[in-house]
Amino acid sequence: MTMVESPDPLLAELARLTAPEPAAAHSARVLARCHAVLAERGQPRAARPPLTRRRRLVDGALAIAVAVYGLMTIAEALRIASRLP
Amino acid sequence: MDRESELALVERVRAGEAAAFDTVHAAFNARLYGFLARLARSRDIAEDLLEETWLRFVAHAGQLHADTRLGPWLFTVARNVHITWCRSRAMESRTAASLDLWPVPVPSESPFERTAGNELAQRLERALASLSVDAREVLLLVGVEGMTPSEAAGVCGVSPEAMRQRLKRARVLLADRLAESEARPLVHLREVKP
Repeated sequence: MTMVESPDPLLAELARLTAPEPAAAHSARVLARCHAVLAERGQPRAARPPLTRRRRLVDGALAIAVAVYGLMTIAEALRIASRLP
Repeated sequence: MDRESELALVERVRAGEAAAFDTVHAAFNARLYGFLARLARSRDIAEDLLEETWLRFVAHAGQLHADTRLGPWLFTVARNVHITWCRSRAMESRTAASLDLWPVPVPSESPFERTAGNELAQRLERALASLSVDAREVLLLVGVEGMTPSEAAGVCGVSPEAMRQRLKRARVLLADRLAESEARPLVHLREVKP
């Protein structure tokens, strides 16, 4: 921050005013809270748990079912389309 | 703090380094407190607003631009926190007044009047506390904090020219209030019987 190059005596008097200090206990409490927030921010997100064998099987079965359903839908659509005049 | 050190510090703050945050806190805590205490005219309220300012800083530390100037950034946040508080207080006052349950608080004298070291400082604190928030914040940023009018304009979200005008008006008001206070003695001597 740069100082104002002004000979204004009133502003100079303002600059000489005694700065009030916050209570030490308050500052310590705020620092602790901020450190807690920083620590929370710095922690890596919990890794996704690895898939179990059973879960993989269920996922696979669902994918096959969706694929079969999709193929049947397309086949039915083609069949109806072929009958149209 | 020179610009190079400030840029390096900003980089460390962005990375979430606690030691860097401590450095920023040590450099600006008392200044922000003084600014907020004189704006709010209360030490207790200033402490609450100061806490909110630091928590916002920590919450947004990762999103700071690499070329952020910490002083203006922090004073902008502190000013915004104070504005939010003023709005909520105004709403509470209006509600209380309409319900006629509690008396609307009358602005009391600044706590700094009582602690000001000398008579001129005491008069200055009193004159400053009697001004509107708009006038006070300009004088605090430029006069007390030593910002240029352009930097103060950035903090208050106005153009540098508008800030120069505001500073001029605020300075005249402060001088008037100071002159008025000179006419009234601060210490009233009373006769004591022997």
